[in-house]
This record gives sequence, C-alpha cells and structure tokens, in this order.
Amino acid sequence: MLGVNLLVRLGRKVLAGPIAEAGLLPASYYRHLTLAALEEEDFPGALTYLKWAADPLLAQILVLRLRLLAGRHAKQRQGILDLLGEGGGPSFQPGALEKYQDLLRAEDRALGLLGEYEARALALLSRPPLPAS
Amino acid sequence: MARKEISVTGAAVGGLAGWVAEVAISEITGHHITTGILEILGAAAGLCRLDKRLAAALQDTLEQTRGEDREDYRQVKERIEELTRDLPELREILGNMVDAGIQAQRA
Repeated sequence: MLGVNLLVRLGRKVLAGPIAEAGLLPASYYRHLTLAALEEEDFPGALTYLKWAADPLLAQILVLRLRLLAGRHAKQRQGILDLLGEGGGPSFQPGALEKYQDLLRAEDRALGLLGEYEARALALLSRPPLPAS
Repeated sequence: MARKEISVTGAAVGGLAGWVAEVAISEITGHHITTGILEILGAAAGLCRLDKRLAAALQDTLEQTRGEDREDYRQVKERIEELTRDLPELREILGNMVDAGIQAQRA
C-alpha cells in the first residue's frame, strides 16, 4: 500500500509540476485545472492553465468574473471615499482616518491586480491557443 | 449459495484498523495513503464531468451577476450586455439563460 502511495505521490508531483506546467497534458486536463482554480477563485492559477485549455468560453467566463469582482471592489472603494469625504466629523473615532486610508490602499491594490489579470485573460483570448497534446 | 451477512462490528473494526494503519504510516513516513489516491480519483471524476462543471460555472457566473440584492432578470441582462460587449460567445449563452429565467418568471 505504501508503495502504491509513493507511486501516486510521485506521479502527482511529476504531473502537477514540470509536465503540467510544460503544457504536455491533454487540453481537457487543463480545462479541469482551470475550472478547479475558478471554483476556488484562484485567478492566477486559472490564468496559468487557461493558455493550454484551448477553450475561449472559459477565458470569457474568467474575464466576466474578474469584471464583476472589480465592480464590487470599485463600489467598496467609493463607499470608503464617501466616508473620507465627510471629513472626519464628530462621528469619526480616533484612528479611523488611518484605518479608512489603509482600506482604500487595499482596495486600490485589489483593483490593480484584477485589472492586470483581466488584461492577461484578454490577451489569451486574442491569440491562438498554445498546442496541448 | 450461502447468504451473505453484514457485520457492523466487523466494519467498525476494519475501519478502525485502517485508520490506525493510516495514522501509523503517516507518523512514521510522513506519507498519507489516502490523500494521493483521493486526489487522483477527484481529478478523474472532474474530467468526466467537465460539461456539467462548465454549466455550473456559467450558472454561478449568472448568480454573481445578479448580485447580493437579487436584481431583476431585466437588470441582469442589461448588466451582462454592458460587461460582455467584447465577449460575444458568453453574452449569447448568458443572454439565453436570462431569457429562460424571464420566461420562467412569467409562467
């Protein structure tokens, strides 16, 4: 049983590592990996496997998901800006300004990352798929 | 043919022995017997159900477009058209799904 386990682990490591990342596996396997990454909202992972998945629909789903998420972050960002725009009125607790500014920076970072992922996904859509065996 | 009897005690003892073996082997060697096999089975099951998973991903995307405030299907359709101007295939599929939702609402 231990031998089987070691073989399975070795096979998994080889499949998940160098072979998978070299694009040597069938396109359906990359579709499975892309869908699994999408289900976990692991966008960089989905982008990694998408180039071998040869499925423009999956790329389009990823782009829409990223846009929806960016929309939610933009809404949250606007909410923080509105609060900051109130200018620290009497309802502002001490230290709240720094907290909101930290949140704003986090939202900006998130929007930047989502924009970068979207650009990568759109670039994949506009070029022919890489050959997967 | 002899009648097969199911032993609950036997199953419990077998399960316990298997669990003890798994724990002992993972403690001694650092390897998990079941994890690797379950992952491979999971990948195989995932590969067999790719179409269903793609449909689930589309349904999930539609739900995300509806948002937490459960917008009306017409508003969802407008938002989809706005967000998928450069994604024609997806726009058509989601548009059809929304139309089906509108018709179901009318019925």
